[in-house]
Amino acid sequence: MLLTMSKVEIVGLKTLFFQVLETLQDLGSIHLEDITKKRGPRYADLIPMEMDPALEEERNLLQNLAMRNNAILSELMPPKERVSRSAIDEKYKEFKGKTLGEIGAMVDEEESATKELISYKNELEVELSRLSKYEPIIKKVYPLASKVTTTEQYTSIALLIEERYKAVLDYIEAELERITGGQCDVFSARVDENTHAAILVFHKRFSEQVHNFLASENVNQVRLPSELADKPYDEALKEIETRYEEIPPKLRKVREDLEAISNKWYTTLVALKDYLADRIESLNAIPKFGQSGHVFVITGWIPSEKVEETRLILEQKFEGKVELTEEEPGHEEMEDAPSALKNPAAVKPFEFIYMLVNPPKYGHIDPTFLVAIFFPILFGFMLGDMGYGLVLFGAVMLIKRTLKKKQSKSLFFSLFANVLLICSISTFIFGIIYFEFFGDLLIRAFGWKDAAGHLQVQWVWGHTANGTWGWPVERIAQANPDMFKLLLIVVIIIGALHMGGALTIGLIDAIRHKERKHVMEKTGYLLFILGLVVIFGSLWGFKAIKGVGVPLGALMAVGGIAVAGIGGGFGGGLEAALTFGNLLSYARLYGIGLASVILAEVANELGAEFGGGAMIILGIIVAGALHTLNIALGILSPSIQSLRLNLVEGFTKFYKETDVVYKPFKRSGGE
Amino acid sequence: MELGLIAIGAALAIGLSALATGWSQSKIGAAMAGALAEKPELAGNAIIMIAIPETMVVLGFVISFLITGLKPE
Repeated sequence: MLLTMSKVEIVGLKTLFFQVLETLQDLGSIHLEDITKKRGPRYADLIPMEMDPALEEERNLLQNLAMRNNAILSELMPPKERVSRSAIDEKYKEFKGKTLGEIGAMVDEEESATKELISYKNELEVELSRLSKYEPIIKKVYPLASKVTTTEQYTSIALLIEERYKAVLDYIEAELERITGGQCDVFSARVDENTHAAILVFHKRFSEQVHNFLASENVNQVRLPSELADKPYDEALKEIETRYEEIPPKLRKVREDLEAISNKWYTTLVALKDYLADRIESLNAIPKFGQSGHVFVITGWIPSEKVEETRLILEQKFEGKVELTEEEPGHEEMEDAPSALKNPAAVKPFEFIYMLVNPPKYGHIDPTFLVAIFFPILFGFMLGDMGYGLVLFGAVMLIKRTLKKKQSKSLFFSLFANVLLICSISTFIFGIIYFEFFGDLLIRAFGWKDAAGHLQVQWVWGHTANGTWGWPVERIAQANPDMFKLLLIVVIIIGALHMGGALTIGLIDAIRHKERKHVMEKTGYLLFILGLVVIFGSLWGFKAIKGVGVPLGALMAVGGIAVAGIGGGFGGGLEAALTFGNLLSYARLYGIGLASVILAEVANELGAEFGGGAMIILGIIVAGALHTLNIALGILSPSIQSLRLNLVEGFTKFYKETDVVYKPFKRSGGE
Repeated sequence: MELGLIAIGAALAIGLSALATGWSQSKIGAAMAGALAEKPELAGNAIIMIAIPETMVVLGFVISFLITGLKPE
């Protein structure tokens, strides 16, 4: 359902402007309009409000404070004890009585208390991460390096060589002897399965030649931090290890200090973040307003149920110096009316669909309830399995718990999780109809299948001229064509009801907006679908009236094409005829379901192949893995196909969307 | 009808429709990937668009399934 909105105009003395703006922001109900974009005589005498230099300066100062405050906030971890919204609101109120100078002084104080600690923490973290890169090298080379003693005239280089190339060490040793004239030593040892470490010790005056030789032979030396590069290898490694051990306690101490600051300041900082964001937003809104002489004019939309309350508050607070009047919006203005959804709790999750398409346009019908009815039916019809329904229910509850624990703010996931929860129930119900529990697991357990794999037990509930139908409804119905016919009839009925519902919404909408052409078009489509239902009904269901039903249905279908053609021209007529294709498209419900149940039965069959005894465990693992895959596919595919049927077969028939969404001018509230 | 012909018919029904779906999804998928690079907010539409050609293979599968149910003469 869409909220009824009222177009309002608020006029008051300019001296009260900022107080009115603050009150409106506190009330949080008005969707502001930009008066500069308004045309017409009513707005001709109004001059748009402008930001004077003082306000510009104030905004710059606020932005600067917000930036500094947010920078501090981003470095602090939230306190372990959750900060309550009421505590933040309390602090927020305190800021209202403070000047910008006082707030600035507070931010200075916060900064001086945290700046050094934060930069020290960052330095330690950077150094720790840099040193951690040397950790594996240290572990490998240090045991060897500790055996090497160098004097002032000597230096050392470390090499790590793959075990399979260790023969190259003999060549390096020979070359080193040649270059240094024997003033060298090579220590080498295997440090792990694949690596050989070597330390070359030689006189410093040969340093350049040795490095050149190693570079020309493409031998990789172990690189150390630049500040330690000149030191002998054993000393450098020792220093790295000492520093590596020193940093974590220091870092722990800094983090504890920051935690203490966070416990003390976090609520204040969050409240200040909200307060500054709200002040900036309120200043940014100023150019949207109009003025003339001594008064200001604010225009916008308020949910009709809140107009009276807003009017009373403004009247009482400003003693009649500010007036709110309800305007009768013109046709053009209705185009700009914001759309706000208000649906019951059971329907609300299905609003997730408006994250894929824009929400419904104001003044038209919100089709969320249609999605709420058909999405679970379409989903359940496809997945339909008691076991899968239970697994899905459990998985969604787990996801919801995780989302809650992580304080996730993702609206899409929270809505879609609830959609899947509802769908898990419909999956379970359809599972009862098909009597499927992880495919044919129960049927196998009860021995209801014959050697050819066909269902033997069925409680017959219908002997008709068209066939014998009963429960359980067998989806793999090769041996039972009546069942296949039944399922096909059901999907056509579901399709006709779904599309009929969508077209009825479109028809009501067109009648309400007095759009004659659309009325004809939608009537034509509906007549065509009704004609098809009569034809299929008399062919498959009520064969006794076949003689009358088929020609009558054909007449209705042709009449529907003609009526749609009158309303929408050639395109309208063609679209009506193509509705037949849309209707057949619902056969996918059967197809996807069939694929799902076949895969489930394959899983059980494969599991059963392992036989009894200890092999049963392996059978359960194999069947479980395939069922898991099937459930994952079974969630993805029916979700996408249900969405597609709702959006393509349903929405395209009537839906009018808008990009003007109700965004009330309100306090940020922690967003 | 001979068993071999039934099998060929079923294979053609699923095989050709799967090829057609794959071909269309590759075209749509590539185009939507390009569109998403420019406008990530089209992700929802992209999923729907890519799902549209699946109708072919789903119906092909149903037909193939029905064909395999035919009894050889």
